[in-house]
Amino acid sequence: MDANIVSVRRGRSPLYPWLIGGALILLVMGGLIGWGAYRESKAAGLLKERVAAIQSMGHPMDNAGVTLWFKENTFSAGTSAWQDVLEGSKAASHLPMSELPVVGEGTIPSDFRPGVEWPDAERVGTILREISPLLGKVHRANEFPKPVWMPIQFNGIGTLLDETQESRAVARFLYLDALHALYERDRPRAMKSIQSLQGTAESFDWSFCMVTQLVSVALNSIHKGAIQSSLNMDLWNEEELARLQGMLIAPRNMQRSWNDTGVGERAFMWIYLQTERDLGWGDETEGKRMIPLLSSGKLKFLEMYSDWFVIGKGGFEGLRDRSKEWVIAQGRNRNKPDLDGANRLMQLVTPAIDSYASALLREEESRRLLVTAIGIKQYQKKNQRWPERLGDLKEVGLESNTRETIGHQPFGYQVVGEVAYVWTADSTKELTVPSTLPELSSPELEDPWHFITIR
Amino acid sequence: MNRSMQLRRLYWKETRQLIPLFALLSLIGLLLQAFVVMGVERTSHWILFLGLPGLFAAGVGAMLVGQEKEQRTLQWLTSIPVERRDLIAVKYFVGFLGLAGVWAISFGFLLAAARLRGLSLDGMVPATGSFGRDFMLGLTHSILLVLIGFATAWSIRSTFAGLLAMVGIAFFMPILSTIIYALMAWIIKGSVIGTTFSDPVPIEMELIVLSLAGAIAVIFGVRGAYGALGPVKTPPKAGRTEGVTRLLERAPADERRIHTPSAALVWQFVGQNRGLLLGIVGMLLFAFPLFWVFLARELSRQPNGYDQGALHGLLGMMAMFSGFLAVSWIGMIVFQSDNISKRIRFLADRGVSPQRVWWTRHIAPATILFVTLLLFVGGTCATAFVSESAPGFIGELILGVVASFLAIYAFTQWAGQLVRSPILGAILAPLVAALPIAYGVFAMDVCEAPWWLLALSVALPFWVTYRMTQPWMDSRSHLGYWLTHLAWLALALFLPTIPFLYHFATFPSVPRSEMVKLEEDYDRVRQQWPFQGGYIIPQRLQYAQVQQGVQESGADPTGENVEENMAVASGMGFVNEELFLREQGKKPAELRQFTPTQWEDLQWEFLAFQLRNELPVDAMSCRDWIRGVVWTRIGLEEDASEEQIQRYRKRFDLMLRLAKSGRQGERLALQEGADATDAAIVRELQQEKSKEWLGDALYRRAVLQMNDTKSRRDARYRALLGDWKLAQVSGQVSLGRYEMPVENSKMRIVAQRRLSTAVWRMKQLLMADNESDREKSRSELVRLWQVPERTPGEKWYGDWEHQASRLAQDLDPSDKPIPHSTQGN
Repeated sequence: MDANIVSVRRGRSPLYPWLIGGALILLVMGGLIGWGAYRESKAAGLLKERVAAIQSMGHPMDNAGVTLWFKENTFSAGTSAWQDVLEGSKAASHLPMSELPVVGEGTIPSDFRPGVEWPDAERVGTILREISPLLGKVHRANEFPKPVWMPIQFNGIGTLLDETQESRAVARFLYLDALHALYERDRPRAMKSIQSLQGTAESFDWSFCMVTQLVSVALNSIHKGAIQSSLNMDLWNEEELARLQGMLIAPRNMQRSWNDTGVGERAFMWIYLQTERDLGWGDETEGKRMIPLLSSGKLKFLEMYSDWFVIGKGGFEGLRDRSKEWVIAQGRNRNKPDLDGANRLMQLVTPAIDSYASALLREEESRRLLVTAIGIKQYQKKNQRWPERLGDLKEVGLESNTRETIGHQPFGYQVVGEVAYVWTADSTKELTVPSTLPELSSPELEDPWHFITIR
Repeated sequence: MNRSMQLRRLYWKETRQLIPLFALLSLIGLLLQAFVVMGVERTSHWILFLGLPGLFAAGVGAMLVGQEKEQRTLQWLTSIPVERRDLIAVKYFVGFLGLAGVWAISFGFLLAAARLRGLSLDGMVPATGSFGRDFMLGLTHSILLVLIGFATAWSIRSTFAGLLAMVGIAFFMPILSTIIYALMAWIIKGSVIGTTFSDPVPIEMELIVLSLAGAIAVIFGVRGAYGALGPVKTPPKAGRTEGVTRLLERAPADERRIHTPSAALVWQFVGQNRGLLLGIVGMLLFAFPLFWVFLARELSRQPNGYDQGALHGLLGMMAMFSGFLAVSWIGMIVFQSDNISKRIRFLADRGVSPQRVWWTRHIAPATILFVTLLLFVGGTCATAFVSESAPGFIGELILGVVASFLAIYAFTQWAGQLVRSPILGAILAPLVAALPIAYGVFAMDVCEAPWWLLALSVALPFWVTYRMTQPWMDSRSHLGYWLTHLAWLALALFLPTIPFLYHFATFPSVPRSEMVKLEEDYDRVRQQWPFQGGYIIPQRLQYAQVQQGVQESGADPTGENVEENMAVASGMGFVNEELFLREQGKKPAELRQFTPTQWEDLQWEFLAFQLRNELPVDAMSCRDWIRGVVWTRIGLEEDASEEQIQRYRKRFDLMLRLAKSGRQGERLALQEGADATDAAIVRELQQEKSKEWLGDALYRRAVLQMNDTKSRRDARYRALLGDWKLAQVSGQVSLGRYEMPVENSKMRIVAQRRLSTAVWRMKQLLMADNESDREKSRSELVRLWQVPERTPGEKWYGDWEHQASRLAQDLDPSDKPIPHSTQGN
């Protein structure tokens, strides 16, 4: 018998390479598909668990939940009064105020004090008399518990926040009133408006999303701006200074604000992801999504928000670094390929967490600087002389951690003649606080809270 | 037979040889242009315009020479008494004539597409292109391709090898231009990097290179032609085939002992296509790394970053084209290679089952396809992983490429069974491959086909070829055979459109009788309410405007033509302000001295002045007046003096007049403004002391006006009919400023039907007597409009209207209005 034929009969059929090859291909492709399906099924299970866990903590994940959550965290006693205020504020906008400072395009003098020339003083006074009924309503509304509940129609990221926006107009009216009262040395009126400014900020301190929080920071900033202006005037007595100090001595409960904002933002995003119509991203620039967001993609979003809560832990200290790390980590995640375009979607909707953190840090830093400035004035009133150094403020009850930046740099302090100055530098920009009185044109002093004049 | 007659016969023979290629290219080109018109962005027309002649040019050499070699008719031609020179000249002439014809046809398609899209020819050129430059380059490229095609067809024995060589040479041409340009820049400027490679090669340079290449192709072609038409050379002795020829052409069955039919068939397939399979694998191995380099460069580009240069674009284009071409050829050879010399008849005659033939033809190409796809997926993922920027689209890119390759394979293997000429098949493969892609994009974009129906459409060709293998093996070509294929093709095309067509067929429409009623209502309203004039936007006085108005209005300074000025002004601009101030006997300079209260009083006088025009008011612009009334009332809460009360009454009365005038608006948007004004009035009426502050008479009048549901309903209906007619005339899918979303063609195709149905539902909502019927119509309306927060009429019969009704119920019985359900329509 032919040796070749024997060897062939003992050997494998030449079809085997194809069969083995085909089987291998099927195995690899089947493996890939199976792995994908397993991964998705696991993600779907995890997602279900994660959503259930979030809801079991009382955190909302839909519009109805947010509505309830908002109601539970606010007070409705003052709702009607504040609705009246907001209606009045809108109505007041028809008055001829476009040329006035604060509420219009006008400006206030740079060294704003009683006695300096203020061309708009009379017109401001006239308008303030005109809006005095509204201011009266604001003062009365501030007697109710805060924050105030409003009948907001929650609709995910499409929620309209008219009340939040209008609260800024109310604050501007109050600020103008406070400035005018200070200019006329009308201390009770000024104090009333400053108190109402604080009340307005607290009434609208809604932490269900970042926008409302940023508005809250802005309202606080207006409040602090009024106090800061008053320190340039040598106006207040010791009791009034103590009241002002009392308004500012407690820092914002940053961790709570941060967490609540995360809870609300997560709910808004989740509502958005559940809306099939919005997932189309059908506009020309982004192109159409080939497949809807998978469970793994949705899970990524929830994980992103899990990290959010970690950033808030630890308070102000290190907040900037933690938020930056988060942004970098999100950037890394976005680089990973995916099937459903979840990474691309995340890139578009990642909240501006870094800006939010910076806003909170600036707010806290400006609060500390202002508390220190009031402390300096209190010391001067008590001892009839300016403190030699900020350490002397212990005498008026100011602890060292209030007299320094979040990064533990002591504020700058100097007395020139009859005027004291206290300053800091924007720590979110990693600037060092100058040890000597900086020039007014210095880039470190671009924001008003960096430099306070006390008379 | 004289020379002239011989030549005529020759011309006719060559022309007939080209007819199938010409006809099929024209047909497929027409289909592709049609799909593009229906669903793809316009620049694809331009690519098709340039691509169709290119494909013809690539195939003409193979059709006129390669096919004759395959069918061994070339030897017969040499045996007839015709000069070799004439034979060669006729083939070249017919080839170029055909090219001119295809350019003409392609241009005709482009013109037709431009006409259908309502664009000029220039509008069809992509933003980065230029008509003259692109056309000139395309034309020169196609001429060069014809020359290279002839050269390779004459010189290379295997037609497929000739085609592969031609593709390689064609690819090499732009690279050659770039290299020469770079070298020249290097010689002149002393630098290459960062300058030349990032610039496009000038057209002059490209034309020179292409012309030189063309000249070389002519020389090689003519030499090859004389050789091919010359005396037959002695074939090389057995055992002396070496190198590439041996690799490409040896039969594996010689070396393996194959004793199962299936194995034999698989290896036989590999053997008969060895060259082509190796060529295709080579093309894919060339395409993928090139694509990865291109992708890596793309990903490294900043969002608004620098231009990667001409070479970068060339890389991407070459990668995509060679990958696309390779996959289309893989599919085409599945059945195509058995058509050569009617090999399939050999299997049919020996009783090999069609099923066995089907899968043994598929196994090798499918293996190559799947392995290369795996390679592509792995390589692309790796490229994305090592990249530093954000490739969020990678998953979709991979999915798109894999799905496209599978679709190309599915449809080209089908075409392979249909096209009997292997050469024609090879040339048509890329076009056949483009068809499912174009149709897929059309189906996804226009018909919003679900992915599973698209997958079914892609799977269908496999089933068809499986079912039709037997008739194919029997070389059947009767009408029934072609009709069966046509029916399957129709089914494949129909499948993805089923949901779209179902949507179109079943979308609700207005019953005929209701439509007639709507039309009749419109005619009746037009007769009773012929108002077609403008409306006023009640302005507020502005210091700046007043001062500027005095200088710029151009109004009659004597004040004698007041009426004329009023008519012209129609409540707009500065003329009104000037006339008003003249009527009041006030000068603009005086206004600066006014207190806010005086100023506000003057504003309301100005409003009264404007309302005297008796034109309908655009109530959307009444916001400031509403605020003014609210503000006056807030002041009243602090100071309820008689003067303040009178002021409030006067302003409130003007508000009522504003609201009434607003209802005259014949647009829904104007009615919405009137709604806002009415709602504000109702809010004022609900104030604790409103009755006291307004006085009994004014209060009653206001409540009755607010509770006049019939007038409000008639006004809304009038505006609804007006906006509906306007939409019909203009072809817009909107009611006033409410735009109905038509984001996709599924919505677009039923847009007018949707709009009319929405109008009918709005009428039902308006005419409904009870809240449950209203709610039903409202939810139907929201479902139709698909934008819950922006649906016209959705706020009709809102809370404030119920509150107005409650206020009316609290009035003295003698003042109560007649319930509207008992009133006529």
